[in-house]
This record gives sequence, structure tokens and C-alpha cells, in this order.
Amino acid sequence: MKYMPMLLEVDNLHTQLHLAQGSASVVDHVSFSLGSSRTLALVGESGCGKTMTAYSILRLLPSPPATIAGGRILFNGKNLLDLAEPDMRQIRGDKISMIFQEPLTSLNPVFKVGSQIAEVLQVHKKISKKDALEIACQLLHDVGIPSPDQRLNDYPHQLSGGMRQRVMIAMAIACKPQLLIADEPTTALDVTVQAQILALLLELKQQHDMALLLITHDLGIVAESATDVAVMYAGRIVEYTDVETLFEQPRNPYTLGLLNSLPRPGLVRLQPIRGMIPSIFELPKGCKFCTRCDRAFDRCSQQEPELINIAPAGTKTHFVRCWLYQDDSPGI
Amino acid sequence: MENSPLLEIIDLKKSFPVSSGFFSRTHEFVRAVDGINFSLIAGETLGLVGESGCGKSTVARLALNLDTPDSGRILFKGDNIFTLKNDALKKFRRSVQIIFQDPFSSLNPRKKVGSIIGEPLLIHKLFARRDIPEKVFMLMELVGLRREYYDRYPHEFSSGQRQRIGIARALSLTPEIIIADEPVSALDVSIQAQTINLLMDLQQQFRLTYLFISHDLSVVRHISTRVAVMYLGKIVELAPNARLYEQPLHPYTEALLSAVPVPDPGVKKKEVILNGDPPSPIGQRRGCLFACRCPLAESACFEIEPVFTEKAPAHWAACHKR
Repeated sequence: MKYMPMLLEVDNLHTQLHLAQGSASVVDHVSFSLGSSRTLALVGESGCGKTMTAYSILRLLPSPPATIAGGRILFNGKNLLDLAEPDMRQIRGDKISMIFQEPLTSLNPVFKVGSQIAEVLQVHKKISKKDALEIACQLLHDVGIPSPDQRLNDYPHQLSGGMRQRVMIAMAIACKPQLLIADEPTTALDVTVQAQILALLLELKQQHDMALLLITHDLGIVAESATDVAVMYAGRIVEYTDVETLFEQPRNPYTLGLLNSLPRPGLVRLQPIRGMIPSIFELPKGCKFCTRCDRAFDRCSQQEPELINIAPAGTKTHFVRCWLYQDDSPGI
Repeated sequence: MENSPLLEIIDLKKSFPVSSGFFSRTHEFVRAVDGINFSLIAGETLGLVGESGCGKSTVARLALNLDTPDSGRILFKGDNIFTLKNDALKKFRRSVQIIFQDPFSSLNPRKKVGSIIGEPLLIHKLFARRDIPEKVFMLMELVGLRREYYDRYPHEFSSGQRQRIGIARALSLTPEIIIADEPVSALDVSIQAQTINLLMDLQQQFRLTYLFISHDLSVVRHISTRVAVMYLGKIVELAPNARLYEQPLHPYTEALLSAVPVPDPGVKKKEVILNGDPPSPIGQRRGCLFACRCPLAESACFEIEPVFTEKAPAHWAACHKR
């Protein structure tokens, strides 16, 4: 059988940040893969490395202070880390595009939204400004903006938060990308608008047969939108499986802790995770979660567990990084 | 049996001028709070929910007497808070405290934790200066901050710990009412749960009354006794917690509830996705403000403003159709 590369395979990605306080691994040997038309959610609390992972894939991190210290990012079998910057620029916005969290700061305030969308098209497809604007108008229509021919001439500040995010989405899908990275696309929005934007994203994903890498801290959004989930903590993936398994049989104590922290109907008292999120410069030895984990034992504070598949052979994979599930590993 | 209300808000209105155009002449007004009525009963937690710009925070500022309303009254134990003077006003300020949303901007970066928490005590001259540290240590222990943090500055703390400093400061004057304006919105999930538990414990311990303002409907469901839903400066529905979440009457409440993502992939809920954004709170008003986004709206809804009435025992709503 011929080997078919996945759309995106991130293999042992290692990103470091060199700051005055010292160097830290913000993305520490992260591996995952994303097939076409799947949705992978990267979840975790602030500072866990989810955005850093996304920026590393698109090579958007400024160097210094950040360096990609190792690993491979295979997109259609080709390692993005080997590409020269001009070749990478060809891919950004075309084959892989990104939606950012804060639509007001990521749109240029001094250009009309129409020409900002047209610019993407002009860069990647050699077409005239006039044709590009026509496509931009159609795109605005596709993302559900009323009277798009007039909105083309609006500046970002004239639009509401939800409308701006729709413009961002129109820009991102302009070149029909194979992979769309959405970094907290609805965090700045109200819930009713959030529901609209999520529905739109999923609809466009189906229409254009895109893969979606969804970065979020909201487990509700994960449950409703994702097919696969990777939970991150302190720059590492601690649990990685399909969405049903994650919510039905969460195994890593951190994942469990997150789920138990959520208010649910009928719950009298929340069960939070104790302690604080450690600074990336002061991570404990061994398992990075051991200082907050109720089930930690001696070994956890000495040696860091590997991310291993605990699912029985022949079923869907379920990767967990925890000593509770590594009885057969060397050292016992 | 109805307990007597601790705080009564009666037909409260507040609008702000919008400056625009040549020489910034004032043309129009934002009606931030547009005739609302509710009361806060001793010992309860009233959740106030709504989307950004609906006037939640203006209600908080008015209830604290930080802003004066255009019309309407707020009665604290029967006295109008806007006519209080001198000692009576000081006493009111002691009784009603606030916890802010942003734990970064609400603490003075030049002050040490000890003086942030102790300052209200000093201002209100409740203790001699030398007795204040002891009282501050007690408050710090209460909210789960270690004694040795007394001499540290706010920047040395994480957001969750800063929020605890803010809570200790609010508690220092042993208030009766605490207005919490989005107190957990800036916090990560695991820290948010710790803070909610802390707030609920403190409420029990000191028999506090909370006005809990939030846009997060699941947090409000967890913590509240009753819930009020605001839309464009008006309260559109007010009901006991369980009833509001299980049998919402107002179509806006329904839409809000169905828009909340449920952290369970097995749940297939009925979606009421609203069209459009909330209309601008500026300018003239006519009919039901929600009519242009409402799936049930009829011609009458665009003409006649619905009255906020008691549709079922203790369940109030403003809607023609329900």
C-alpha cells in the first residue's frame, strides 16, 4: 500500500523562547496529525502553548526571541521548516490561513475591508484589483454580511465585532485553503454572536472541505465543534484522542480537573484544580502537573511520563501522558 | 413568604450623551439603563446577565452610588441612596462593596497588598492604625492568601491571586451587599472554579448578599438564587434560577441559553441562532427592542412596548407573545 501523507503532521515540534529570565520550551516535543476535513481542537489554559504551536506551524514567531529548536511540520508530506521564507510566504494565506483572536487589532485600520480581502487574492492569484474586489464581494456575501457591495468600502472601525470576525474569515478562506487555523476565533464575542460564527466556520469547512485547527480554552466549543482534541499543559500535550473518548473517558488528571471545574446543572460545589498554573520558567521536575495533581505519587515528581497510547489495539487511539497509565514502562 | 428587600431599584434610568460631528455637539444619547425595576433580597445572589453593552455595569455603578441616575431611585433599607449625606452616606458606602472584573487594573500597582486591603479600614477609621495589620492578616487568611504576601506588590501575583486581593479588600468593611462585576471572567477555568467556591463560602460565612453580574450563563446558573436578563438597558426576564433555565419565557433568554456551548459531545440541543447583532443602544426607540431579531415577532411587537409583568409566580417577563 502506498503511503499517503496526512494533510498536516506535526512531529516532535520544539519551540523555545529566549528571554531575560532565561530560556524556556514553550512548545515541548508536540506531535499530532490532522487529516483533511477533520477538526482538531488544541485546548488548555492561558500560557499552555496552544497559540505558540499555531504560530510555529505558520512560522510566524519572531526570532529572536523564539526559535524552533527541533521537530518537523509536514504539510502534504513537505516539511515547512525546510522552506525558504519566500516559499513559506506562498503557503501562508493560500494553502494554510489563520483567523486571529482579536479582529480589531488584526485588521488594518487605515484600509477598507474590501481592499484588505482583495490584497490576499492579488498576492496569491495573479488577478486584477477589479476582479479581486468582485471576488471579495462574493466572499463577504458567503460569510453572511448583508449588502456586501457597500460593506466593501467600510473601514474596520465601522463594523461590529461579529462583522469584523466575518471579514477575517472571508480573508482566510479567500484562496480556499486546505488548512484553516482559528486561534480563539470567538473569545472576544458575545455568546449569541459566537454561536453564529461557529456555525459559519463549520459550514464553510464542509463546503470547502477544509481541515480546521481550532485553538480554544472553552471545552463547550470543543465538544460542539471538534472531531479530535489535544489537551495541552505547560507546553506539552497531556491527552490526545477523539472528542467522544475525551469527554466520556478522560484519563489525564489535568483533563479531569478541567472538566470538574466547569459549572454544570445540579452540581452543588465545583471541584477546582488546586494551586496555580506554574510559570513556564519555573516548571517542576518530573510531570509538570505533579504539584497540582491529587493523584501524584513519588515517581511523578522525579521523572516525566511519556505520551503513550492506552487504547486497546484496533480501536481509536487515546494518548495520555501520566504515570497512572504507564505501569509497564521501564523503571517500575 | 417574601423577605423584605435589602436594595430596591425603582424605575431607574441613565443615559450618556454621544458626542459626534462638528465641535463634538451632542446629538444623541445612549440609553444605558432604561427604566429597570428589581429588588435584592437579603442573603440571595441575584445574577444579572446580558451581552456586552446591555447596561449591566451601569447598573452596578448606579447601585454603588458612583453615578447619579437621570431618574428613578434606589432604596437601601428604605432610604434613597442618592439623597444620603455625610455619615449616612459613609455608612452606605461601607455596606455596599464591589469586586471588579479586571484584577490587573483594579489594584494600585504602587501599593503593597497590605495597604490595598487595609486602606478602606483606615479611611473609614474603623480601627486604630496599629491594629490594622492584624485585621488585614485575618482577611488575607480568609481569602487564602499567605501572611508573607503582606509586603508584596500586585504585579508579583497571578490573576487568580489578585482577584483574591480584590475580594479581601471588598470584605474589609464587613459589607452587607457585594456587587461582583464579572469577577471570574478574566480567569482560567481551574482558577475560576476556585474563586467561585471562595465567593460561595464567604457568602455563607458572612451572610452576604450578592449582585452577580456576568455574561457567562453557566457560572450564573451555578451561583445564583434568581436571575435577571438584560437587553439594551431593560430587564426582559427575571425568575428564580431553576425556572429561568428550565422554562425561559422570553425568546431572547431562550436564544441566549441555546447559544451556550455544552461541554458534552453527546448533547444535541435545539439551536435558536439569532440573526444579526444587538441593535445600537443609541437613538429613538419604539416597540419591543428585541423584535428585529426575534423569531416570534409580529407587527404589534414593532409598535407597542411590552410591559414587564409577572407571568407566573415570581417569574417576570416583558413579551407580547408569551
